[in-house]
Amino acid sequence: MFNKILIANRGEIAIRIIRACKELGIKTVSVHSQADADSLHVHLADESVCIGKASSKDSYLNIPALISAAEITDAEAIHPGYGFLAENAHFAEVCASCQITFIGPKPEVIRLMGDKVAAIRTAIKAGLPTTPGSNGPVKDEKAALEIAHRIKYPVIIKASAGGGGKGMRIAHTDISLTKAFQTARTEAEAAFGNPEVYIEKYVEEPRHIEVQILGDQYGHVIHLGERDCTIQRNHQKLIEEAPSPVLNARQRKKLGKYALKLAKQVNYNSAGTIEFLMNKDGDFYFMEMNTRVQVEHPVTELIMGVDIIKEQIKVAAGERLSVVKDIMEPRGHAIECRINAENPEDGFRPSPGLITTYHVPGGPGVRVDTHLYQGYRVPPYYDSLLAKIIVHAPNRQEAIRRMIRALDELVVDGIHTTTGFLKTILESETFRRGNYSTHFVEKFMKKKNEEIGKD
Amino acid sequence: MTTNPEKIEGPKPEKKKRSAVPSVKKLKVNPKLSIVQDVIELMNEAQINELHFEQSGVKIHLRKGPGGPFMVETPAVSITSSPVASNPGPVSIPSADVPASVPVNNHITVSSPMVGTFYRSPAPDAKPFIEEGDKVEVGQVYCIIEAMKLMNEVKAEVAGKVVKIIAQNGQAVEFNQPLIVVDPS
Repeated sequence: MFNKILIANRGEIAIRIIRACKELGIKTVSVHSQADADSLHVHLADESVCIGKASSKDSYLNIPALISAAEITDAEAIHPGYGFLAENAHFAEVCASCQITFIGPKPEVIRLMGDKVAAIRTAIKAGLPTTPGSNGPVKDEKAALEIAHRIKYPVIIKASAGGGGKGMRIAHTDISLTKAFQTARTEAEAAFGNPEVYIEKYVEEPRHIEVQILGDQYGHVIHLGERDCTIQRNHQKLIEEAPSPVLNARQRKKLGKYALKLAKQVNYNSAGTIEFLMNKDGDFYFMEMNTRVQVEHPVTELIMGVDIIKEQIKVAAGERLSVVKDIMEPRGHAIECRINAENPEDGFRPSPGLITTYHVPGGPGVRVDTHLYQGYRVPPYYDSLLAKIIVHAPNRQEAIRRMIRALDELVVDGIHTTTGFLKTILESETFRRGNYSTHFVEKFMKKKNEEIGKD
Repeated sequence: MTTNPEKIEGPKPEKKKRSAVPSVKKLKVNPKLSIVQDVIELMNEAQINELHFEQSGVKIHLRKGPGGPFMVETPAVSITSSPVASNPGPVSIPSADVPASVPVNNHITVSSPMVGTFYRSPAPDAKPFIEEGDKVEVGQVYCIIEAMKLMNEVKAEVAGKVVKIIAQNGQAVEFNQPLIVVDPS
């Protein structure tokens, strides 16, 4: 087992990793930018190293600084958390060449799954259903029309070099496709310097359902069930839950099978998540694979009774997975709310600043993963996630009530947060029924604005 | 919903035990600092109402109120309340002394541009690049910071005289850690 681990991250996930290390008796090294000198992860670790100026590229993305920090503190392993360098194959390779264990999968797997088209091809090879489409770049209008006729409208045109919802266009007819194809290419060139686009069937009213997997270096792979992350705004997840409220036993089993097939296909080890879209008919399509621990991992931990971060560390240290059973039975229902430093009344504008009063919710079935403290100054340089409020209850109904109760107890004064906005979603009839798609939040906000306009 | 507005001044976490890496982690600007006193005097004498002062990473913003100049909270000033540590140690308020990296006159502090190990000589058995009292020219090498088996030279950006060598040979240093104090000519 490792003697000392360096956590190459910040905020709540850095604290999450420090906690797992402490419980495993592993010494911890935190790194921080100058702007993060007073951040909680710096105080909780055994040692800390300032690695650069505020901007991410000077600090948390600064590979030489991170490696150097590991060297001067004699850290044997680096946990990259999520975001930053967590899915950077080059960083994983640099760690290996410096005899530092990168806590995550092998660089080749990171690289393979990081390439969207290659990942889809791998999924197809493993027998997973994928969104019908061009499965590669579309060279001209004629080819675009051929593909659209084969897979049937509506279709979506995406930039090969793109991501994050940028450079995507939907077409419902031949005429709109021709126009959209040209526009998408022009936009892609402008935004990403590469006009290449590919076409996929547009999944209408999709749900986002993902499966958590864990693998060790002995070829043992398991899945820990699914999470439903359909509540999103601008492709950013707001509320996640496990299990999904809309899957039946047959669908759940099928998803788990798909996930294991892909994991075994790439000989996966460490923690990973396989994301699917589900259409309104209940068909699944492989979307992508994330070769890291995810923000929403706590909901899985609560219903499955597994510590995913500890498993990652153990696997990286050459141990076998602690989890004995191949298929695990979930217990109860868990929901997570992401509290962001944003003002929902002002287009979700970021709201950094000083937290003057802070009170954290507690009581049965409430877990809070956060780096906040009273008097903490939220810096403007990084993402706006402040805290994750996670609840666990015997069933979904009680979980919703528990979450609303917990959000009512949460106090974060001095800055704007999305707490109130999330509460209104949880209280909505549609959410309670569980019957919605990724378009729900957008529709919900539009309706609310209309109601306000009527007053 | 009522909230308790009282600030919770919890015990400060114990000072980090790092392999002999002294560093200025918090800069608590205190009126007892002569630098602030000088500036206040200057404001009164010159009848200045608002002054923003910046030098060597120290930022102070003073505005004259009815009772005299007062400090406007800036990000450079550390926060008074602190996180409640999991293992509360003795309460230790950050020292009001001027840290070595805040020179009182026009001395310049050379800080480490990267994370690594500080070496005073180009090789283990070679003479150090500089000693205290030495005169330096622009472009002259002060020291080496070794990171990932690469030796990175830290060079003088202004000419002057080496006043104090703060870091010790072979010491692990973090980004922006004070290394050398120079009196520019």
